[in-house]
Amino acid sequence: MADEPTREWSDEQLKSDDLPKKDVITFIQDNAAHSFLNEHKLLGNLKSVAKTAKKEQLIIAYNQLFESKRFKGTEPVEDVTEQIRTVKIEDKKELPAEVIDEGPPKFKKAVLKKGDKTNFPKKGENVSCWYTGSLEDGTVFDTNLPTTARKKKQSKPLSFKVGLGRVIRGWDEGILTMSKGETSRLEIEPEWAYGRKGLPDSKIPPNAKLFFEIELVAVD
Amino acid sequence: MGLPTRADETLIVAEDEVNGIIQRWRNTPEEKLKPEDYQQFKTFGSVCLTGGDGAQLLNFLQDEENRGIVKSMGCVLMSPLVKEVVQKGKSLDHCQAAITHLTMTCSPDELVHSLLELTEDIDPGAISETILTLLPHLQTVLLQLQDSKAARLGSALGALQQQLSRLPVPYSSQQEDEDEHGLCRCYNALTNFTKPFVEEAKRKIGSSVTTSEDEELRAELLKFCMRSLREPLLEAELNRDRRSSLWLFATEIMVTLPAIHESLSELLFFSPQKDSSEAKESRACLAYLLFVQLITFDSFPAVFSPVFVLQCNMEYIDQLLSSKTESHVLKGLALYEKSLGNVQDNSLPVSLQDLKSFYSAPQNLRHVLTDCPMQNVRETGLRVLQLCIDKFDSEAKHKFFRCMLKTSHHAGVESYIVKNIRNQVECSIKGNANKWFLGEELLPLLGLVLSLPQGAQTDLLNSMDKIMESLNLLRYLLIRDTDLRSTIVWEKLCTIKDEYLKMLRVCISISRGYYAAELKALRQDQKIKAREARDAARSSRLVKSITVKKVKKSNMSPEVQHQVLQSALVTFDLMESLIFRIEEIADEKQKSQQLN
Repeated sequence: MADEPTREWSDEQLKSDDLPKKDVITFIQDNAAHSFLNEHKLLGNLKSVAKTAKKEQLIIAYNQLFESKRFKGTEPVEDVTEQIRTVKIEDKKELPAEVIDEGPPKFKKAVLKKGDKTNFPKKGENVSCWYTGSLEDGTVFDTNLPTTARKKKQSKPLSFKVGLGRVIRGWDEGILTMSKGETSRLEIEPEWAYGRKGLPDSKIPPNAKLFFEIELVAVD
Repeated sequence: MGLPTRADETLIVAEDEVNGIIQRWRNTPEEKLKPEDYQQFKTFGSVCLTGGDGAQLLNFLQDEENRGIVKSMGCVLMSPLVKEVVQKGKSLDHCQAAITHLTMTCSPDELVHSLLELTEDIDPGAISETILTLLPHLQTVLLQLQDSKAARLGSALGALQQQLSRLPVPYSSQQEDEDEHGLCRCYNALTNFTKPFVEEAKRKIGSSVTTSEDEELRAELLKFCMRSLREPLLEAELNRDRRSSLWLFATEIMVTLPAIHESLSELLFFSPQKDSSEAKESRACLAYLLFVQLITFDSFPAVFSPVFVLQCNMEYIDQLLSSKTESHVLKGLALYEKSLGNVQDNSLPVSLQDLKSFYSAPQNLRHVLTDCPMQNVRETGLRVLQLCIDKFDSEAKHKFFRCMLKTSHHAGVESYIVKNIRNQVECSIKGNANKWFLGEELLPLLGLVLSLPQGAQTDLLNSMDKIMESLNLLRYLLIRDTDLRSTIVWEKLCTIKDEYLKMLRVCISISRGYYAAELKALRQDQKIKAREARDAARSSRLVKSITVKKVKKSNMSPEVQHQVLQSALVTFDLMESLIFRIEEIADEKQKSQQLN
């Protein structure tokens, strides 16, 4: 039988601006039963919950938690199975991450223009970029940069969720090291690009090292 | 043609009266005109045309004094004029000129209405001619509209495509060149028709100010493209090396999409999954055109990982392979082959098989292999199946083989899988040692291979392919005993082998007995029939006696029956000799083991 969690904050402390919402949310998420969190709309990613929940709501929830004593582990089995049923199983688009350490990264980065050094993309976040890709001999095999500045206003940069294996590994790993506004030159070894097969339809030969100049325009 | 009696009356009506009516119309404002007036005007026009007097009608319309009449009531003439052009009547040129005049005189709204009316329910034989006649004028009129242009364009395109979908799509290059029903000409004309609207959308979108009308225009053009991908492009036979009409049409569609700011990668990879099957079919065709026919592929981003592309395409492949239409299946197979081709061998992990489409597509492929009557399709399918297997890593191959052995219930497919298993064991022995084909995990797989689920009731001839391939595998495993003995596999393998061979022997003896009896009965029957024939020839009896025998009736001639039975017995001999050889090897290995 789990020990009941202790009340850390008084009402006055809760109302105070010194106590951030995130701390309260973290406490409740760590200690409350799943159904309690669901009812009080406190399920999910900390950042998202913090955005939507008001401080007053959190104070009420915090108090109710101790009144009802609906802590973790107090739910009957039926409730738990119901929760499992309601968890949505997304039709996965991403592969499970390979946690094999393959050695040193197979790309190099040279920063051409610094970014804001604050907004770094996280795995699964949406990024947008302009890019130009070339081969070792300088042949440009792909770019999404329009020819004129005017057309750039009319075009959209390439958008995708980074870090999920949707793009070549060199991009996934490389872009995670870039911050918003940064323009860099990535030199990617074939193992983290198109490998032994290459991509003949895109004029990329087998075992080709690829060079990308990427401008990270937006993060999420 | 209006009311016949009235028309007859009108014919007899004197010229003065007609002029009188016309004069009245000239002086009547539009609001005061009655439905009878419109009808009368239409009748006048029709009568002119049927009488071959197109020139007279044209003169009337172009007469400045009649401008008011034409402006108010001109649209009613659209129908008879278009029909006359379609039927290639006597005054073709005059009619075309008349139609042009109307498009410049009458109100665009009314014109659109009259023209669109003509796109409903066209007589099947006149579909292409009607559309070809209508299109340029419809374009002129739509470009003149100030409001709701996009909506009207949408209605027009929808109606036109609906009529065109009634025409059969050519499936050979000869058919396409002949273009018997005018389908290719129409789609060509449709491309020209949409050009100015695409240009307008291209200009407007991306500029800082877009109205809802601009958005609507883009939406209607997108609908047009998506419909075109389904019909006719999904059915069309397209080939890079032969830039036919429909190929050009496909190219136009692929170019239009980015022009109206529809990113192909967004459409193909990031569309909502819970879409209608029609939308999926359109996107499947899009994937085919892009990845297989490489239309506009050079402007497609070259940054996506091949495995991700395969994952996304698998849904489209699954959709196409589940169709019963040959053109869809062929496209599905081509897309499958292409998508797999870009992936490294032995790289796809087993986790992919949890995705619904990754499970479903090979099952559909299997159905193509077993059910499709066309040999070229089956041959391509087999190639794709092998490619599929080659791209999985060892664990995934193992799971795939188990799945196929459990679900296919088809000896041909099963034998192909068993052959692949043998290859994997060989690969494992020769260097790429892994637990899936050389360790503990091999046993459950062998259990599926070396089994006779129907026991003594097994139809050996039906299962022949699988059984022969299984025996080959068994022989191989015994020959390579040294590589297998070190693992726990060996003892269990021997147990499986003994049980399998025991049951197989039982089946062979039962089957052999049955077929031998059949053969004997057939031979007896032949003897009797020969004797009867001799008797009948010798005797002078007029009535032939018919002896009824207890032989099973068959559609085959006795000679063919004989052949079938003989070959069955030969098959059983073959199986038995292979079993014998296997037991021989097993004994040799046993002895050499004991000696060591």
